[in-house]
Amino acid sequence: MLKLVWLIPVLPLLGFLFNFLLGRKLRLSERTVSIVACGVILVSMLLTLGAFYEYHWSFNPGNEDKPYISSQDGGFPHSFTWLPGGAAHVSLGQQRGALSNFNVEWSYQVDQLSLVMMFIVTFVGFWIHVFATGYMHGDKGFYRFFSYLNLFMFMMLLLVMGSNFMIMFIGWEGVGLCSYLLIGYYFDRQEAADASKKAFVVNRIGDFGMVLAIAGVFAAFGTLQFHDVAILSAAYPKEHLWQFGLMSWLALGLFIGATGKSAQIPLFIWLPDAMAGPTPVSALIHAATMVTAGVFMVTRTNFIFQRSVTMMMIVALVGCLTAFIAATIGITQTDIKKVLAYSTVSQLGYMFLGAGVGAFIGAIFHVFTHAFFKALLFLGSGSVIHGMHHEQEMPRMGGLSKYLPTTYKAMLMGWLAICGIIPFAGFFSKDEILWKTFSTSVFGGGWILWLVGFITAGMTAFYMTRLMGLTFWGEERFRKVHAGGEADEAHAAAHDKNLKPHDAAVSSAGDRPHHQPGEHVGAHDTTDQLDARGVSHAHFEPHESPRSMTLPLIVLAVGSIVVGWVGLPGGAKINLFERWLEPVIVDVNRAPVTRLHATEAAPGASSVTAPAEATAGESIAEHAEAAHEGIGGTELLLMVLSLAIAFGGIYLGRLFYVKRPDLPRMWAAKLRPLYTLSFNKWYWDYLLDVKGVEAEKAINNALWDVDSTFVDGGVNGSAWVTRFWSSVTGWWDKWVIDLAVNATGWITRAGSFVLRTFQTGFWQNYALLFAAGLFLILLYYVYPAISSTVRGFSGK
Amino acid sequence: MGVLAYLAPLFFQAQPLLKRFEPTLINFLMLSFLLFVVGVAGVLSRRNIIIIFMSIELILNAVNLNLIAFSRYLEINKDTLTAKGLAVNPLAGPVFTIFIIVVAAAEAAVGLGIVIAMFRNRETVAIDEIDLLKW
Repeated sequence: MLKLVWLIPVLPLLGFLFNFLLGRKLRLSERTVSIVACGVILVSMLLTLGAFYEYHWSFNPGNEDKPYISSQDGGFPHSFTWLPGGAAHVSLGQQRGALSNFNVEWSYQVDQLSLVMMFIVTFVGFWIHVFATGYMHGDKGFYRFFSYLNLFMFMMLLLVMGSNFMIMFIGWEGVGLCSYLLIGYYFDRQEAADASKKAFVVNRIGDFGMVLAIAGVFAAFGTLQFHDVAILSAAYPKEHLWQFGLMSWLALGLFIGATGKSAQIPLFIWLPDAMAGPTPVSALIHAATMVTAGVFMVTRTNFIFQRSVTMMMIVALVGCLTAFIAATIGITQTDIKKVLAYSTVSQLGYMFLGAGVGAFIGAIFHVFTHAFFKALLFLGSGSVIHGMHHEQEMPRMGGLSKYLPTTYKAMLMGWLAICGIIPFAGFFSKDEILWKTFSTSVFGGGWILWLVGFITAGMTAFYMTRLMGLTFWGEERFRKVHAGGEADEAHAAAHDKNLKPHDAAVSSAGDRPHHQPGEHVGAHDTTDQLDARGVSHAHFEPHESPRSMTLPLIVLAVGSIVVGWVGLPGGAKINLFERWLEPVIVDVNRAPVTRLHATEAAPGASSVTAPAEATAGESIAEHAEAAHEGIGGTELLLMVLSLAIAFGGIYLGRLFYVKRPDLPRMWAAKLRPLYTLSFNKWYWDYLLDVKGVEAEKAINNALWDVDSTFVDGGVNGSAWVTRFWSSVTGWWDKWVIDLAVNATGWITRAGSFVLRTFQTGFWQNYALLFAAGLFLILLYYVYPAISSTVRGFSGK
Repeated sequence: MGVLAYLAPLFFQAQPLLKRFEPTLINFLMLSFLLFVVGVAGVLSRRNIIIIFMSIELILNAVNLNLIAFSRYLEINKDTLTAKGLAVNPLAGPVFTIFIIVVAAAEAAVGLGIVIAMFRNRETVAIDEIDLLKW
């Protein structure tokens, strides 16, 4: 199956092309579109499982954990030279310089890490596709939606499977594009269009760091292949705390890219707005896969990150702060998807915290479990929104467990998982990160980060319980505060005409409507059964979603329970996940000599398989000790503490939002400044969108002043001088040069006026003059003779 | 009859009288001059191009007469002039006269051809209507 690995991304691309090019032209039915779109993902998933099987059971043992790179098989579908930059460079007659090495190969890398990510992407992606067939039913742009989803899968698979930075970057940008397209899927709605623009622009800020880092990697190593860079980077020493050398700069650029894509401080503001997209998109792109690309990328390039302690600390700090701040914001949001969005940001913060303290495996493990339970929670919220006729405000829900039993049960699993209750997936991954944070050896003071993460875990349990409480438990507020809104009206109207609600003619029935908290939309209460348009709302009932939507919920709910079990705490012996991923993570503390030697056999190999040299002996011994360690006393204590705070959060949540619903208002009043801060999202958007824009406007105005005074002044001044000088020369021209020219003309005219009179044109006149002249000359010559003759005659 | 009586001696004495008025060189020159002037006047004053042609012929013939007259004069006074040391070739005049007559004939042929062509184009031979040279 490894030879078919190139098919895994290509299949979704084919699905995309099919639906995108033919969907409108052939007016493909929803059935065709969904079968094609889901089918290609299903085949990709099966191929991924096959690749996993073959890599693990037949490829790996003979190759000592070396990654399978598809160029090993050669030939077109497996690999080809994508950017023959060096050839072009040489063909221009330039033999020297770094560019002559610049050949980017299009090939895929299959190793432990990419297999995990491929599995997440295809498996969760497939079930979200299935969910979307139900959720998007009746939407006008059905084919468009699924073609974008497939394109996203293609790009995401490129991102995780690419064997070099450039392919990863293509995927990186491609998922950004798809994110943009899908957030702005309801492009007729202003907020969706704005949100998609915001996501795109914020991601560009991150990508600039990413591009610089990729360029830097090429400049430093002369290649972009992960595999080669991992080997070559071994030559660089580890940069200790407060050192900021080459590796730190590269890591900084990469991390800036990760903050953009994975919504970390300061670039997390786009993710909550991205909830304007349809809910399956939020589940797939903005919870399970794309936003975890940053974590994946940091783990993929851990050979760079691990060589810079400073950057590791920055990553951990940023992750920790993001986790905390996003959790505090999540507590007060009322839109069900916004809560989940901030929860996602918070969980991503955990992942970066894990990566920052050196627990890359823990971070990826959290990506793995988070993909399941967060996709589940998002899909569950989608099901709720669907059942509530496109209502997203939690204060207008409540008591839904009776109406949406399957969704409720599935959501319960996701809730317990994210809260960190013991047998569920979230517990293991979150606890691993927290434990690694506490016991980190990368830099000191890990317990402070642990404390923040620990408190965040409590807050997570609290706000997730709040979400469940407001949505599924308590009194049924939706009868009092009716949703109203376009989609609702349309559904009601459709119901009146004895149609199914989904036949409702509403142009964009996705996540409409978004209301401000407290905004009164519906204009009706229980007694008033007819609204102004005479549409009856008496029949309004939340309804359970169709089978195509509940089935993915069930699958993911089961996943949320069991996937954590592959990463049981207690060292590499019990922790399958850690054992599996270990070869990917570079051990930078080993002496470079050993590294260089090890690269010949198996770069990136774990120290277990490395040749036992004198210098490596220490680390092997260390590792062996760690492997036999098991669960220590401290770790056990921390686990108990985590559980305790999770239960504490759940208890508080139930107390606040189920048992005594008056408490939140009271406490909000007591903690008014904190509440306002949280409700307004720490004013991040305010600072960036309002103050930032204002500051930029001020700067631009100042620049404009400079421009208008100096640049324009210079331009206008030169224009004025030119005009003045030209008027002077114009005067000279007019009154001196032209006068001379005209005078010549006048003189000529005057002279010709006289001369012209002789020029009659009659030749006889000329001949007359000629003859007259002749006679005059004759007379002149013969005058003496004539006069003497006359005198002679006169007798003198 | 008185008149006849008065004229008779003239008549009878004509021979010596004629002898006495035998034309000399100056008479021929005067005649030639008159012809020339008549020709020039015709050229200058007439509108009809044919008449102008004829006037030109008059001028040419005045010159011819001049040449013949001088030739004759040189022939008669050959000895005297030779004695004075002047070289005389009385045949040069008639030769040039023949040249002029030939050239005049050719010119007349060409000129008349031009006149006919012009008449065909413009239906006139009046010289003042052919004024293309006028500015």
